[in-house]
Amino acid sequence: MFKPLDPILHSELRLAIISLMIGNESIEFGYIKEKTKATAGNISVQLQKLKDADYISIEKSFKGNYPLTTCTITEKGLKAFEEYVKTLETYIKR
Amino acid sequence: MENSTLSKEKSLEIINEMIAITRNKLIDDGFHFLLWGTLIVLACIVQFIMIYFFGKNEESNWVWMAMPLIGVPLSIIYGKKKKEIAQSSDFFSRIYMYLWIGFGISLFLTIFISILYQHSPTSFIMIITGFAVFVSGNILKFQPLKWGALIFWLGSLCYPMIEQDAFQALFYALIVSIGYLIPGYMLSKKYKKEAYV
Repeated sequence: MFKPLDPILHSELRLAIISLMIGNESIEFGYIKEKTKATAGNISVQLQKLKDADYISIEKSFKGNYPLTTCTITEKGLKAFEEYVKTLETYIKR
Repeated sequence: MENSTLSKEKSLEIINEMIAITRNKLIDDGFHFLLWGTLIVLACIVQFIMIYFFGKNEESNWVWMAMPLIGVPLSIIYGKKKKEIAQSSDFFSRIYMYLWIGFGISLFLTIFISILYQHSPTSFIMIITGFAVFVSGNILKFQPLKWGALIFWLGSLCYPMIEQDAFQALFYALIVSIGYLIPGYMLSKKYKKEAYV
């Protein structure tokens, strides 16, 4: 019997966002948009879901006159990602 | 990118793709290497001319006071601009930044103490520059900088063998050109090339 994959991470865009955060301490909304090529609306919804699960923290500030959203992965998010990859490995090794 | 459910293979593909974006990101565009390399080489040439053609040995040291007056403001302005543009901050960028801040402080102390003891700081400057260039080359995984570090370290050994002040200035210009300016130029070219990929 296989362990189910974490449903919060098992979605294309949310997984991409979390993977981007693995190599970075913090990333801006614009960076996510540029790298994933997803729409701003979709990214906002997915970020909120990740935040609700305590996988990321979101900080809102200003850069010049423009609003700036910066996201950082939390310890819980990091553990969830590691667990997700481990579970994925068991599926692939089957 | 859509928000659809995934196959296991697709999951791995996404993870690999996103991590590769971060890993391949070159964190230095070579600006500071070009700026400081050019300033140091110019200062050396001015010093050589002042000593060799005009015999102004003492006065020639003023070029080293004048050089940071141009370099430091330009470095700060450019650094601030880059920070505003940067959309992500990773572990290596932070280490890289502190390496060069640490280098700047060490450089200042080396020069200050050398003046206090009245001996030339150049060999010691080459040793710590070699160290900073070596670590940078390894953080950026950029071979020309690793060779540049070796040039600085070898230069620090050869420098005391040169007796005339004027030729010491020329020798230092040569070391900075090969060990710092040229790798900086190559780094800048690589950065521009990757930016347009």
